[in-house]
Amino acid sequence: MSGVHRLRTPLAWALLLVTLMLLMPQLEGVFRLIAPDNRTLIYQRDSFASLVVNHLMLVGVASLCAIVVGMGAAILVTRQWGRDFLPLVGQLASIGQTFPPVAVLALAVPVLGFGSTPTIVALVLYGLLPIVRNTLVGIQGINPGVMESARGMGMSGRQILWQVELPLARPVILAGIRTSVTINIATAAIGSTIGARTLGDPIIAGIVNGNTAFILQGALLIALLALCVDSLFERLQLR
Amino acid sequence: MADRDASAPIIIELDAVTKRFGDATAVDAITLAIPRGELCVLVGTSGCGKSTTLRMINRLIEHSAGQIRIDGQQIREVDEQRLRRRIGYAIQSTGLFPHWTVARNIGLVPRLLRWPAARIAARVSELLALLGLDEGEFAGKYPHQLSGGQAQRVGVARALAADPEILLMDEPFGALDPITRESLQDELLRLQARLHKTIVFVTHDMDEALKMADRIVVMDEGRIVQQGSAAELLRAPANAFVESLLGGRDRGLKHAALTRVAERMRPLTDAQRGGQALEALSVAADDSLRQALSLMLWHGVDSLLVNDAEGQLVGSLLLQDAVIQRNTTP
Repeated sequence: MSGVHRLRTPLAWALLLVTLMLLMPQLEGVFRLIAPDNRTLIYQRDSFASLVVNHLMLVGVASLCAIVVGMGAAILVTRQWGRDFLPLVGQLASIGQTFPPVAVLALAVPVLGFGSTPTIVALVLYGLLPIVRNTLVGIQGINPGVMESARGMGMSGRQILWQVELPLARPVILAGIRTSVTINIATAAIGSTIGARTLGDPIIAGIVNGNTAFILQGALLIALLALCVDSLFERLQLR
Repeated sequence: MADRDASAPIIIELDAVTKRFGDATAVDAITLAIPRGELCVLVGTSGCGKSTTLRMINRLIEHSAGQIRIDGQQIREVDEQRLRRRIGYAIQSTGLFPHWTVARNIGLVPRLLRWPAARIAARVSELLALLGLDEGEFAGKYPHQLSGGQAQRVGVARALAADPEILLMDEPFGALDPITRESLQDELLRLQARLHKTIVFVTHDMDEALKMADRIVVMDEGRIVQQGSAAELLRAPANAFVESLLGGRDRGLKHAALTRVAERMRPLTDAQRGGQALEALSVAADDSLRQALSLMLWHGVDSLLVNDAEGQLVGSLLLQDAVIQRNTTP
């Protein structure tokens, strides 16, 4: 009961998302007010449901990779023997973030072709920085006295990692993952420019055809998806 | 202060131990033998190498040269995690895990040693009682809910959890207010009288060293300058540095703080015995000479009555006896 209670906000956003996703055609009247000159008012090349699912899959796969790689790298360089690589990893993650995703896509297409794969690569690169940075900050921010006594009591490196470092860094790491995932939900839309099926499809189609209604439909669903996932993380962090 | 037993076997041996950090020598060829059951205090100014010495004993810092032996075995030959689980460790910042309850913190080393859960629970209750912490109130609390003194008690309990023979304490009471510090010092001495652990205790506070130590080891610039009992140091400081640590002109009072009134009082004749002492102008036989002198100064008197623990009058202390030791011991 209390679990449902705590999930009230994310559930509300999810409900709104699903409702809009399924009942978009019923809103034709509303969109006519916005774009009275267009003949088609509802994006129809794909169902919104399948676009939402595909969009989520892309972001999910990319985020999972970013979490594994990002946390892994941050954990490795905070070990005694990995410290030499700490500056390097920090810089690489920053570069990933400063590189515009569009540029990554443009560079990835000749190598990886069109579709989902280059999109995922771009999203992983783009999502790494918040995860790496927050994992580093979270682990390095632990009270040195706690680390010293953990070693002094005879805990092994692995025990210290799992029982002390990760639990204590958890809120900060989660905040990094939250930022990364939320940003990537918005960023994934540009995958549509190279043939990945995402909620960017209606937006691109809208831009190409001068159809504001299409753009709005894609943007609305992306925003709701981001809000839904973001509030889910918020609950997770409070736990 | 516990009596020193010269015949006790040596448990910790440092043999020409040196620690270099790059070009700097933090600890310079020190040799030290600590007998079982001794409370040995390393004292010195910051940067003198006392903490480094302590941390070399449980291999938190590896020594660069020389040998450290525990029970005759070189510590380099023992797996470092197993070594540390055998040695209690308490530090100034307590290092309690903030995400664990008091009970879980205390049970850390027994858990690492894979004791059965029931035995760990029993040991945690025992230690909470030993450190004067009510189990119902404290077992489920988190470190941030504790006062400084309570947290340090939990830190000591955690260090004692697996009943180690050796306890290393790095300025454990350094961050506490004077009153709490004093009560924890008394507590540790009381515990030590019962448990007879071998304790290596680091502090920069000479008063703490004088109060706690069976033996004081004074360190300066990575070397041992002098070692001996509190009385030995006060009687004959090896050099000006030790003398200044001992408080220079306050030395007389520090020495008085180590002397019990009973050693200087004149006992009552049997005929005088049995009366009740006047409240204000009396001291207990177990009080320090320093306290007695303070009372005399405050009240402007040159003699005090002396009570025993039950409040019975047992003797009198004259200023002249307090100041100059008579040859005839009472």
